[in-house]
Amino acid sequence: MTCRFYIFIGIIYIYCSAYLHSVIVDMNKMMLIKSLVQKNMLILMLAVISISLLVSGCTDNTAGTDDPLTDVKLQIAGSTTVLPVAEECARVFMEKHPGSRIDVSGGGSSHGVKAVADGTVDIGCASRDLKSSESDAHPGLVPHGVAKDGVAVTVHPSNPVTDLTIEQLQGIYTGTTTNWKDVGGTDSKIMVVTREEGSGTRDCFEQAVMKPIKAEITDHGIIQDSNGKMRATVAGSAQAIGFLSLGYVDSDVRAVRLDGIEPTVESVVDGSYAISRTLWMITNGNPDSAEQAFLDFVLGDEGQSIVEDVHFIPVN
Amino acid sequence: MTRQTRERIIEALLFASAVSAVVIVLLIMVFLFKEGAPFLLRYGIHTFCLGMDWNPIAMTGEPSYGIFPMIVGSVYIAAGSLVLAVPLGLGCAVFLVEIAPPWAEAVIRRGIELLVGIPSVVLGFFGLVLLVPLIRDSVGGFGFSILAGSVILAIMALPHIISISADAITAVPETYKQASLALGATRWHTIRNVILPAARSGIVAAIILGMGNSIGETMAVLMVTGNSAILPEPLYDVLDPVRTMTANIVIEMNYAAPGDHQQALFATGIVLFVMVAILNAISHRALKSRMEGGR
Repeated sequence: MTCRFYIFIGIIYIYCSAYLHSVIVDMNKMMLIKSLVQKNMLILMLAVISISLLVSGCTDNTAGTDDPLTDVKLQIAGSTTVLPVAEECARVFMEKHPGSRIDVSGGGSSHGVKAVADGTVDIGCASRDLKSSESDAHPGLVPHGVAKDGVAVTVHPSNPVTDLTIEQLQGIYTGTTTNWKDVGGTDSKIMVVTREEGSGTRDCFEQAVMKPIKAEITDHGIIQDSNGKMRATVAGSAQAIGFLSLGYVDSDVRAVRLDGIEPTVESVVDGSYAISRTLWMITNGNPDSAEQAFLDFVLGDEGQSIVEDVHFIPVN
Repeated sequence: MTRQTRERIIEALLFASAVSAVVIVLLIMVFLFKEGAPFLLRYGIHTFCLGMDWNPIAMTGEPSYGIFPMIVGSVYIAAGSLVLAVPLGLGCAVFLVEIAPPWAEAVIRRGIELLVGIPSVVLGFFGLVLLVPLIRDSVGGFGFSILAGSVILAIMALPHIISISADAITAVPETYKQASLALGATRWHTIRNVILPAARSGIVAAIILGMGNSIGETMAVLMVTGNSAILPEPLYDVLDPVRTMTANIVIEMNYAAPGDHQQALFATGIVLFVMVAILNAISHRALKSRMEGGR
């Protein structure tokens, strides 16, 4: 409610200053257009304000006060890859149990592990397994797998290459293999597309493909900053190769088999596909009742369908 | 309410809105420098600005934060957009003020206003699905390039360049033109040798403002430039991908862990801020000299 109030004040403030500004500046120029714009703006503002009031009126009815889960107060932080799952689950959980409050923030996997270990948050999120150094330093940490993710290597549908070995993929991504004919394709330059530093998808790819040979992804690749843009880029160029979170693969691009294994939900779940990972929610010690309630929700039907909605693979 | 109190209230409101702009700028500056400056000093302004290697999350060895390729990228794309937009914009401004019949002027001005209204991300998407393949197929390279970024930015800079230089041309005293025509000069002669030189400082201001806008633009650019944090090879190859400073901040801020990486992005913001501030100061100078000497 307070949030809406600030937005409301903000809108009024912006409108007032825009109005005052337009009064002072440019009195002579384009008077007609300006006044038209202002009228429309006023209507728009009124619409926005009334809608926001309406919405706030709708959601404020607190029904079901005998719900035992109204006093759930949780802090969650960590990996931005897990963030959509945590945020969406928290939102639905709070809707179902009015009065409960779950704050979700990012910061990265390492931050999530550290924060839950030193008690700053109740649940830490990580998109990688606990490092041995971490589990040695904090033996009390209990990871709960909430989702799986596979990263598919994709090419343009017209590309004749359907199979790659891990070595070929390493060659392409380190920049030593630069022509499709070297991996069984046509004679054309390979356009390597990659994700930005820090991306969870990139991290998953690096851990599985680049880490065994201790190499960095080539600097000469095109960098796109989301799965959607990556897919659009690969779909738009016959020379492109790029990696996508499995949930984003559609008919615009073609996923190649890696060492003969097709990236599918099944091959990721049974672990035969190489580039995959588990997304974790970590508690310090066994979860207390509030933490357990939230984890039950995430691992339940509703939570797992949210996992699917945000393009990950359910664990249950 | 008496007229006097009403006046006072309006004055107070006006003052508040005027001050709020300054306060907001100051707050942003303080925030930016608080977040980025310690890192900049610790890592070294020199190594940061002239470093060639950007690798904030190193698989092996130490992370490195060098933004020189991005400074080059930003300047390249801004300059490229001006090369495309200035001749077009200037021609359009001259046509609007000196030649166009009223109906044509009205149509063109409407068109320019519409151009301002197109959100940059829409232009970026247009670039990604149309311009990039077009460049790849007809010019060469992968399409994600300095050229693509420059074209998109030129489209965005055009309206600003046109409106400011049209104002500058309009401000040239009518007597100059009459004198020139009375001496027997042709229309083109008058435009080239009298009107344009007289409006020069305003046009320079338009160009520099355009450059400042271009350097600061983000969304459209990052969709079409490929964002590789390397220098083009060879250096003049406009078909190579580059990353601009703005794109660097946007694409990595989502994930940057608190610490050096995040602070390095704020430091990138400081460098960008300083560059744009310098450009704005220069264009302000140019505009001011017009005000003093022009009329």
